[in-house]
Amino acid sequence: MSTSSSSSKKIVLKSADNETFEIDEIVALESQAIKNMIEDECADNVIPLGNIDSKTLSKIIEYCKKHAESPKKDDNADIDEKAVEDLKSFDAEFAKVDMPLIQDILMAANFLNIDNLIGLMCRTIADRIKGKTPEEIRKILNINKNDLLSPEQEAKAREENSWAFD
Amino acid sequence: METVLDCVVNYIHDANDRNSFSLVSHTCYDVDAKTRRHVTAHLCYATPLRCRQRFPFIKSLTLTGSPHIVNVTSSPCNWDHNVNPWVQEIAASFKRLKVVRFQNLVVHDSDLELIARTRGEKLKVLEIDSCSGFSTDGLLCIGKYCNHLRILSLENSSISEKDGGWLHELALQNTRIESLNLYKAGLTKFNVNDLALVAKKCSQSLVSVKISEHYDFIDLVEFFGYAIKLEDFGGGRFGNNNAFVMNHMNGINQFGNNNFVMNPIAQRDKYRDFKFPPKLKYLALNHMGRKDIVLPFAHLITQLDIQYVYDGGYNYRNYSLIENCPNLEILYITAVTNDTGLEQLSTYCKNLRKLYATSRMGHVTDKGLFALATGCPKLECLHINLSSITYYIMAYIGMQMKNLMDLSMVLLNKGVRKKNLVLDKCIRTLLIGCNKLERLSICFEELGGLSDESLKNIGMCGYNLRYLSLGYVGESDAGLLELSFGCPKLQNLVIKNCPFSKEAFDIFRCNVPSLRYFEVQGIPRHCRYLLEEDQPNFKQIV
Repeated sequence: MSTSSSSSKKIVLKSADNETFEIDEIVALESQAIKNMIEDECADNVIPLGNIDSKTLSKIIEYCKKHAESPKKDDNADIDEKAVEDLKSFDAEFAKVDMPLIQDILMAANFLNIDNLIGLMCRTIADRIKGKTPEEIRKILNINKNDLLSPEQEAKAREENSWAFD
Repeated sequence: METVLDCVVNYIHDANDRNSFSLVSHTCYDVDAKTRRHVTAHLCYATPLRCRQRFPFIKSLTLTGSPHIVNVTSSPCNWDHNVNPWVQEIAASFKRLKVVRFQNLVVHDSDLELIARTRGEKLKVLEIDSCSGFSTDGLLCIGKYCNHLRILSLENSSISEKDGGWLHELALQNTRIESLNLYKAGLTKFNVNDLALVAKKCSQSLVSVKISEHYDFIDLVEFFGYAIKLEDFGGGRFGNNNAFVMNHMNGINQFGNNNFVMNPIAQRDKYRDFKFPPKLKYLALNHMGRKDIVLPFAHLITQLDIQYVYDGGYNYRNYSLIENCPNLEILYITAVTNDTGLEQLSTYCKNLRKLYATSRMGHVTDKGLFALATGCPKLECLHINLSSITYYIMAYIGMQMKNLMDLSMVLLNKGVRKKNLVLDKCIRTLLIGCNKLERLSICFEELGGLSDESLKNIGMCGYNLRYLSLGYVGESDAGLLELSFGCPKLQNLVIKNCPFSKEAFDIFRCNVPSLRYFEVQGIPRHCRYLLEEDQPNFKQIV
């Protein structure tokens, strides 16, 4: 693996607030969307990401860097358990951020098509709403008041929900 | 926001979490409705039309009737068990269904035929457990039209058995069956050659087969030969022991009939070459007559069901098998259980997760429970019949068995009333310690087991309880009232011989809105009071 080689090709990402990030191509390739752009040769040296702010983008780069550096499962059938553990604890630490940022990262990961990161963010959100009441979930996800069900709709949904218990 | 919810919803699997999520907002409701893959419909609440309108894309549907009525046709019941409207809807609308389960229902041959004809091509799982109303004709349709089956289960159903041709058809049409469960379904007319044919055609997928005890192991040699990946087997018998034992127990003297008594040496020779498949690890046996066949691979066994073993009271035989099963995780045993047995069990089986020891003749006291709580800390499920219990051991269970989710204790002895009053103080310790407990069942043989104070404690500390069954418990309505101030998640309440009035139950229901099923047992049916079922999501079982 030559991920840390300084001679590798560089890619520059530009955030919505015009901050630029120069990263190794191998890091950028963690994003399936960027990978496609590069393969289709429709990417210039600078890739503008008009819907991702610099705070979110720097977190995403941090994630991609770590994952690009880690040995991939399909590269080597018997990668040592330590590397797997290391990546797991990195992911756990990475997810310890507040809910608005998690949602921003999820949206951006969805746009950039980074499967592992989408999964990590979804699991994090799902874990945080596990066992919670609808009211608590509304607070956690900061749900828009205009989107709430009317009392009648909620009563109907509640009644239907009573089927679905085991 | 919708993108976020669209992504996240796929990671919410628990039905209760899904339900809460659906109530959060319009978007959540819609996102959940179109992505819900599985629905359990309790027939007393749900209608097929509303189910289809809300969850049009489900892949898996479980239809369930009354949870306790085993034979639905003979038990009077206050709600409809007819699945036909659902079957019509399945045939017409639920085009993505791959999994259909029926439980405690009346299913007719015409229902099975319609499902098989319309969904047979896609159906991977069909379970018709504890149902009645159908015959082998319905099964023949399943055999003919369902050609991608992975799992077929008929466990505990009462089926009108005309012939065994259905299994032949099933074997001809299928190549990917993983599990064929005919346990306790009383099917005896199918040909063992057809069972062998299933194993031959599905040899790469077949991991679990359960049949009745009608079939002799010696006739299953070919079947076991093909079923090279089999991990789970239930049923079968060695020789005529069962017939002998059953007749013997019925008081019929069979000694004049040599067909029923085979001499032990002849038996041993008969099974000399018999072998189980190499991967077998779950085993349900009907008697221990040929323990030596099991012993060579006993160390591989993780699940053992010897509930129906008749051993003439020599319970040490079971335990000597268990001694050789160090990897046992799940054990069903109804033969005589006592303290010595449990002490041995806790010495040899450190990985035990589930224990069902529900003998009516057992003699288990604190001593046995102490051993179990010390030696088997992984236990998640414990169903046990006891002859006595004290404060100390209840507290000890609370301290030791942190993984317990399902606890059922039946006290068999009468006349231990004073001794058991002390239970009051300890139920609290137990519930605080075992805070994962979702199902709790405590039954005594006569009134006075738990006081009203205990019920208050169960309410206060039973935060995760979904199922609660009480027998001869409580002193007055005040106890039930105290209970109703807690138990915020309780869905199912079963009361047997407790001194509570109808008024107290009405208040209980109002105070515990999560309650879905309520059942009073032990008093004559015509004397039972009926609660008003004005709430749409509440049903009483009478």
